Amino acid sequence: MPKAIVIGVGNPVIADDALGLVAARSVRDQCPGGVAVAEVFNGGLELMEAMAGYDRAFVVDAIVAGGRPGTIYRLGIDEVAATRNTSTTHNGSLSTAMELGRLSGVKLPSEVRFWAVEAGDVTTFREGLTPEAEAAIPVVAREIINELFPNQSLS
Amino acid sequence: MKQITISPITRLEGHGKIEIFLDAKGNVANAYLQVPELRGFEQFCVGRRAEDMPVIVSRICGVCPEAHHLAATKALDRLFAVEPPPAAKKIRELLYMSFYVTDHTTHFYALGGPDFIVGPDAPPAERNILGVVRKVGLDIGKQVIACRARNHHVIQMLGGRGIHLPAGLPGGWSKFVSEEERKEIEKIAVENVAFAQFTLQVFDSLVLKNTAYADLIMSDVYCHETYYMGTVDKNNKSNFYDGKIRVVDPTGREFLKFPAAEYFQHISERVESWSYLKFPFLKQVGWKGFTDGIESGVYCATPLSRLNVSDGLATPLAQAEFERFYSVFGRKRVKGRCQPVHHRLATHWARLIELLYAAEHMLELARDPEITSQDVRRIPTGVAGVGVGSVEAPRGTLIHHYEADARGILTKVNMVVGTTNNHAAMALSIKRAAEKLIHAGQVVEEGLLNRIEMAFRLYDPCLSCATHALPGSMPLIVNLRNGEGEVVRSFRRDG
Repeated sequence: MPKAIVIGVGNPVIADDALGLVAARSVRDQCPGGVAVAEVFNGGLELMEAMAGYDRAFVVDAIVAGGRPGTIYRLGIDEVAATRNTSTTHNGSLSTAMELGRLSGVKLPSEVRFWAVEAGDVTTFREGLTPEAEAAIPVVAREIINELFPNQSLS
Repeated sequence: MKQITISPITRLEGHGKIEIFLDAKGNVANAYLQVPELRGFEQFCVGRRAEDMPVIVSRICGVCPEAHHLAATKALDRLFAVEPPPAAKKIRELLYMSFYVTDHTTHFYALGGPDFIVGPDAPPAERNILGVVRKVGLDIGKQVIACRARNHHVIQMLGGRGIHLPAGLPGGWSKFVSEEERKEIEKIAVENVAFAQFTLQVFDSLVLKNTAYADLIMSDVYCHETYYMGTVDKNNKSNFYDGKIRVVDPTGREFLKFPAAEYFQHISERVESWSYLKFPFLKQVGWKGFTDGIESGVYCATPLSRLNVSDGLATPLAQAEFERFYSVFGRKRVKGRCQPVHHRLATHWARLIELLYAAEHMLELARDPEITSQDVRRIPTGVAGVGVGSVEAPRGTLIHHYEADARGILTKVNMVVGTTNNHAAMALSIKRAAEKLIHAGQVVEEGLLNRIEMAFRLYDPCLSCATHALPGSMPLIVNLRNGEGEVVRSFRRDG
């Protein structure tokens, strides 16, 4: 069976920035049989490193794309990693990191999918999501669980 | 879902946005890098148990959680008036050196180095770590990944977790180092020293021996004669974990040396109407505007600053590089210390000298017989009420200041993060770069974005002491504003 990992990206104490982490934990808690779950802070190299060794990676992250808070964008790696900008905060973009990983012989997943949820608040220190972001979590978690276990019906 | 345009979107509006203000004649009056403002950290912390701070603050920033964790832990030592056993301090420092190796390595190969190794005028799409791999060879990519992996492993071993470390406690550290772990860390430190030496060789052969790049480093574009700040040990050698904060003036004379607890007596923050950023400056010199020189209180806290305030480095290989660094710039020793280097692009070189120091010092600590002592904790018996702790974060002096009631419940939290120290200095460099390309309202567009980017990148600013970057792109936006603050031109690059 292909090895899969669910990765939540975000900061646990910046309001909706934590939504990726919350979604990843929700998936973990609903999969008693176990699923690999990782929480990472950063895109770029850290995210690539977290995927290393897996065949499939499902990533959940907050996004500020101008949509209605709580909107779920389902994206493939090409859509997320379409640009190569040098100017991300500390170590470059995910696409650069993925290519570096491949060139360097890191085993990276053949399938990488993103659930990006429009955040309502990413500038306030607080624990807990906005209601709009919170509402998206069960939807994202359910979709990821369906990807992980397509033939099972988990309650 | 192809219609969703990810590329120009960042997590936070304001990332990488440069504001340039023109005067009535169309020349550059002021410039600054806008960073996102986060709200409510003090309110978030007040009312919590002080001992939770090392864990909370390591969540503030995805780039340097280790620095925050240690500054907080040191603040708690003071808050609870408890002196950690020597082994605990050494374990903290060992972890910190390992962190420094990864952080400085990542900055050089992924961010700072590409400007030189690939070239300052290369397209942004090539000025990244892949460009470095193309230039230096495939093996370098593997080495960078291996360096990060082995040091993350050390941080996990010593800190209990890879991120959001739980090990720092008032009065010590939650776990000791076994002999098996020590041996493994020693081996990793040996590899780090070799890698740091190799990296300095790369810098030497590809940057310093390239006349065009060497000239750029030596040019006046990014040269500012400011004050410098950094932490030194009792021998006035640079120290990232502990010591006194030393400030030297632009001629290299010691201006201040004080414990972190006195920081707020020496530093004030300037507020400008056109920015929500605060610009720290030296109180005793005073704010004279965005200008350098001995009369201006603007200071800088970076790898270059740390070398400039130090009498030397405490490890032999790094010390040799330190001597070479100052000799290349023609600086002489005056009263035990080298005259400062003011050329800000030399910060990239200084960072690599620090990389070598961190690797060597990591090896020293791994070989210290005391490092495996099981005496790693003193239990606090009371609350002193106030605790200030500082470390040298990779991007500048980092200070945490806590106050608590008799139960140890926080009543006040304040911090100065590394990047903040450099707000004014960064503004100087961005202004200087812009001045070269903007005269009387005429803008030389070619190279403007690159040169400005180089100006702030050398400071390794952490634009996100709170957030990770969205996987994807970050635009660089430069707004030109007239005397009334209206945007008259805007330049943007989306990668």
